Amino acid sequence: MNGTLTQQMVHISVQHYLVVAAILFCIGLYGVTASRNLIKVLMSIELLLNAVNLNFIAFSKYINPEAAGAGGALTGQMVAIFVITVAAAEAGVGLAIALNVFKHFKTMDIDKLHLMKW
Amino acid sequence: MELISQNAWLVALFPLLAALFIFLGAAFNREANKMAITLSLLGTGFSFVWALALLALRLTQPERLLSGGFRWLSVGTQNIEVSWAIDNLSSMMLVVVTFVSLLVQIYSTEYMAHDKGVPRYYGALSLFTFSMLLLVLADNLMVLYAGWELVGVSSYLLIGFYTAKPEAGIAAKKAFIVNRIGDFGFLIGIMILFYMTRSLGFVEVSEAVIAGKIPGVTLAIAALLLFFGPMGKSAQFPLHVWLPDAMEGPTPVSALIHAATMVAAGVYMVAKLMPIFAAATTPLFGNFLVLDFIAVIGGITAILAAAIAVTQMDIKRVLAYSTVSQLGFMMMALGMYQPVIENNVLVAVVPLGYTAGIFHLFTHAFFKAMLFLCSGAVIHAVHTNDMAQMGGLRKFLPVTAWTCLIGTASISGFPFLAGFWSKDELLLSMWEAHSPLFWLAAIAAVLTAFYMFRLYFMTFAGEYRGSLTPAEIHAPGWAMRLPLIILAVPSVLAGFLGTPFTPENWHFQHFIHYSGGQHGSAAHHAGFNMVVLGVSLTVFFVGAGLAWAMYGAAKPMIDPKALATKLKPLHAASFNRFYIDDAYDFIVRVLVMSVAKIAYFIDKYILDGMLVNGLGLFTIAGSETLRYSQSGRIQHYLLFVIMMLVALILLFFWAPLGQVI
Repeated sequence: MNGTLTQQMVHISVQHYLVVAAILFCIGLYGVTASRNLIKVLMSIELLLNAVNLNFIAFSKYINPEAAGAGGALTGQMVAIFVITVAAAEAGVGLAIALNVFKHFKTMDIDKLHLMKW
Repeated sequence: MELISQNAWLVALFPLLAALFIFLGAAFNREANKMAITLSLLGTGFSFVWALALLALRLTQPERLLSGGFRWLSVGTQNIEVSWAIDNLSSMMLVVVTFVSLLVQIYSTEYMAHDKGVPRYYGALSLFTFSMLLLVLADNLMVLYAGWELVGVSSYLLIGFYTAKPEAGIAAKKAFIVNRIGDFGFLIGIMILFYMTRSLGFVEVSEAVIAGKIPGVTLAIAALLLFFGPMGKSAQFPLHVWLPDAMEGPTPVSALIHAATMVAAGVYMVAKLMPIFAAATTPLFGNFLVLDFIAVIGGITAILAAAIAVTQMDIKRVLAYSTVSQLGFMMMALGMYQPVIENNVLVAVVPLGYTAGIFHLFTHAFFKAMLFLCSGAVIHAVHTNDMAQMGGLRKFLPVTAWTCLIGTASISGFPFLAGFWSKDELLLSMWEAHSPLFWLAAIAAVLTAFYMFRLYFMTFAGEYRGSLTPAEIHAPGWAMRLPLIILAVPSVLAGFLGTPFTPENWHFQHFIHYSGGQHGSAAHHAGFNMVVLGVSLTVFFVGAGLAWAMYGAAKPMIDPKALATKLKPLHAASFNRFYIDDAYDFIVRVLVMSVAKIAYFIDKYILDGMLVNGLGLFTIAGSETLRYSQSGRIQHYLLFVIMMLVALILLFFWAPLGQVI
């Protein structure tokens, strides 16, 4: 059994990463659309971003890895780092807005924040 | 002379500059009368001298070319040029136009002295003189057309000069619109010729036409359409209705524009384009050529207008209808031709009345301008146009009476005066062409003598019938008398250029004759025909005698009122201008207005109502409905985006990509 296990050790391909990323993305999407709490929405957005990051890195590793020298092309990784940076800024701004919304409306329920309509 | 021959176009530039400066000056000072009069007289005076020099050049050095031009615009491979050329015909016209214009402007200094807007008047007069000279100078259809339209515009400005009178405005509009109808045909004719020959120059087009480069039917249609222009401008039936109404303008304007120059433009144009008209030998129907059409229209115009003139009571209207009638005479003569038949096929026509028509244009310009100026003097004196309010004015206005008598005698064909010789030439050309219109012309000539002497007797003979005291009737001053006296000279003498006894080299025919076409010109010396002479003398004495018997004699032998009652339907028809204006009125009021009402309905309720407003309503309704989808909850929007995304993905997966896009 042991031997078979090592022999049968699953080769991790790009699809695995993609599936994980897709699941992560769907969870995030669900969180964004279904949450009532503003903070939860913001957290779900972080999930969405990280699902995307995962995709970037997976593609960068598996597709044409020797393109630019021994270490491979780091384009995807660079984008991912960039996204993390922007996401940090976004989270900061988002939380600040959330704080102000709470101060103003005394609630975090976004179903009640529907002034922007006809 | 070198300076003049190389700068022939300056003849038109002087009045243009005068007009520009006058309008510019009038913008700063509406009362700048002296400035306007000086500039206008200077401009036209220079032009007159220039024109005389050009005429002298044509007479002494006929081989010298007086032409030039510059490119106006090029489209593709086509160049459109502004070009001018002076031949014998146009050099004569230049002198006539500038001469009459100058005299009219001198006359106007007194006639218009009490009017407001003198600068506007003189500016428009100068503009008119420029337009007319441009028209005469033109060497291609484009420039001719430009001058043609400018003449129409300045005529419009001058007819409507008395802006306080609503009739003047209506008359100006009528003149403009009726002219536009004719000009439309003219323009299409030009377009056809341009399309077929790829050129606009008179020489090029004529050459192409004579060489047979245009199919016969097309050429006939083009020539017919070209003639629509002269029908409007020279007031030929049925487009003559504007000219009598144009009498709402100041009288000197009537003398210049509506007697001597602008209305002569149509005759001039037909003469100038005679090679094209003569080459149109494909009959319109039967044996009826375009030239026949011209002659018939001229004939109808001549007799109709003369018949209307005999009953009119407004002195200027009588003269206006007289002008229309005389223009009809000219057109009739221009339409006379001799067919050249080879092997039973009509191969060409030789115009017979070319010289006669132009000769009559030449003499008519003088005596008709003079007659109009006489009527101006009369109106100036008694402040009415109604001949019933005149009579016996010979005592008060001796100079006017004498000049008017000369003009009347001349136009009626009193022996040895200008009109006698030119009318004789006209009749002769019709006689030679064996045209039945000869007898029509003879009857019209009887009527001419009748209504002109009627006008003279009613105005100057007998006793004064108006309400003014003798002290209130003021004779005109020298500025008005001088032009009358000057014009009387050519009214008497101009005819001697065209008598059968004139030496060959001095003869009008020697200078102006038709020279187009390969079948030779009819440049024969005007003959001497006893029949024509007899008819012409009879015509004068019958017409004048009848007028004397009815209006001139101390004790009228025939009572006009009794005669009018006896011939009631005829009199009524003539007095009401043969109901032509009413027919137009009917056409406009009933036919045009009903079409306009339908069009208005379609525009208002279908185009505007259903399409334009419908689109607006649809937008309003659509947005009213859709605005409720804006819930203000951001998650709804997001959900919507996701649903659409999913739908798209499903679509792409399930349907082959090519089918979707």
